[in-house]
Amino acid sequence: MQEILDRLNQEMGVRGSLIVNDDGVVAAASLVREEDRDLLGALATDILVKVKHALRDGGLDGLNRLVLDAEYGRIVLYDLGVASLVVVLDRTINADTTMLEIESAAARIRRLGRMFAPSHT
Amino acid sequence: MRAVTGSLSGNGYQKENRVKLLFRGFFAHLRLFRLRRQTRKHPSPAAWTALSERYLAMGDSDRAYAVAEEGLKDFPTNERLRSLRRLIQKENLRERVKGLSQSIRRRPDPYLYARLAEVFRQLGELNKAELIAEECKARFPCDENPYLVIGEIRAGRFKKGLMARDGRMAIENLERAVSLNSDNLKGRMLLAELYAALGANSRALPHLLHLAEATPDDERIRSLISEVGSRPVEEGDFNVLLRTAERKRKTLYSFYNGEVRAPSNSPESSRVMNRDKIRQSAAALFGIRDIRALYVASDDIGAVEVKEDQTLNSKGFTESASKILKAAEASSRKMDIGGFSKGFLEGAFGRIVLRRTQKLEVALLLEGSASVEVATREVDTFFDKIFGSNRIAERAGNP
Repeated sequence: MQEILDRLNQEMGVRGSLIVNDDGVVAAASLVREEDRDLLGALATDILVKVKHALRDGGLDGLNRLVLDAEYGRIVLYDLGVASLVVVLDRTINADTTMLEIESAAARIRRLGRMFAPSHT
Repeated sequence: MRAVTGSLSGNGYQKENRVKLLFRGFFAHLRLFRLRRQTRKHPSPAAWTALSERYLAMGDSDRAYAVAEEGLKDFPTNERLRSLRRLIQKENLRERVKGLSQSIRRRPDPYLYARLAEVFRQLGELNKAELIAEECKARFPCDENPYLVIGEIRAGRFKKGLMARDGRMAIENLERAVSLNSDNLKGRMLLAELYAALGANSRALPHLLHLAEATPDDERIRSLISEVGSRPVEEGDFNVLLRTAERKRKTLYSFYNGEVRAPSNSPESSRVMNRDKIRQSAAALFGIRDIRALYVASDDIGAVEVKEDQTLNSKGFTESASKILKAAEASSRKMDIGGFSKGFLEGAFGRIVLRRTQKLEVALLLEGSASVEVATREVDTFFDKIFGSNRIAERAGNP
């Protein structure tokens, strides 16, 4: 997983990325400022929980991706089931190609998650 | 003989080419003239963008930049014009960035770092500017420049967004810059401004007195000293004052240099929301293909327009959209990426497009197959209609 994040961080405009579980615990991270690790993990989980609740209230389920653009940056969150991929991007980049890379990283992490998930048989 | 003939035909070819070029140039200028006239007569973000891009294609990046700036005066919230302006700026400054980066690699110097950070600041890439300053701090911890750069960036962000974290980082870095060089007047001025606006008067005064000593003829400093001196001594730490400013979304006093508090600093802030105008402009949004629900709300007049899909549950999209927008705003502020402006959600429910300014927020629920690009463009046009500058109406009145 760390390898996937490190590779993702080499993409243009990617400031950092992390994988965080549903309790806000960071499983892997690749950030320029390591001190932001826990804070970002907790905040990402917080917004995902809030957004999912809000959607459920409106009868809308099955969130897959959330993209937030703000004045000084952009956050992309992928719900991967038991965990989430969080990517922090520069605000000024053309996100199309970077988005494809993020999507492919999310798919690889999802596959890895399935491989290592405990079987229920 | 063959050589002479060849030369003659070569001359003829060159002449024909020159004529072609002349015609091409003439038509290019004619098209430009028409485009300019059209833009002034019927200003729209698309027209300003086309005109700026035409100048850019002709190699006149200064004019292209000026046109984009002009367009942004008419449509201050338009994303396309903003990104075009950024692109032109980037192109103009690319060589400077390259040169400075090479110089730093050859011979690292805090002054060069500060200049490089300044270039990124001009480009609006504040995060990069800060990272460069951080790198400089690590290499030259006793140099004032990186602290000043970060302090300046964070002070600017604090004035705009009033986030306590920005204010705290600004104060910490500026205090460090001033402690490393007590004659750093820029640092002292920024600190005095911040403290005075927060109401931390006892902290502002020493910096102001130092500034007055260094610039005895500056009337503004003297008037600020008498103003701050007449105020009551603050209660509590400046951290408390910062948190209060963030919570109340305003500082205790206005910023000294005219850069007033955030709620009145944005282009749209002076507008009084007009329910009818919003309803009229929102009509176009109802027409977007595959739209299931629409939520438009303003701080002044509450929910303005709502279109609900009957298949949604009783609480409906309105409540969900409002909660999502609030969560997005709160999170982006805490994540240190500034105020939330737009967003996008995707899932089994379809797609949701979000857009928010200080005065107005919009959320669209679309089918999964709907085009987000088209919806985003329509929402941008909606915002342009609401926040388009008064200049257009004025110009229409006085051609």
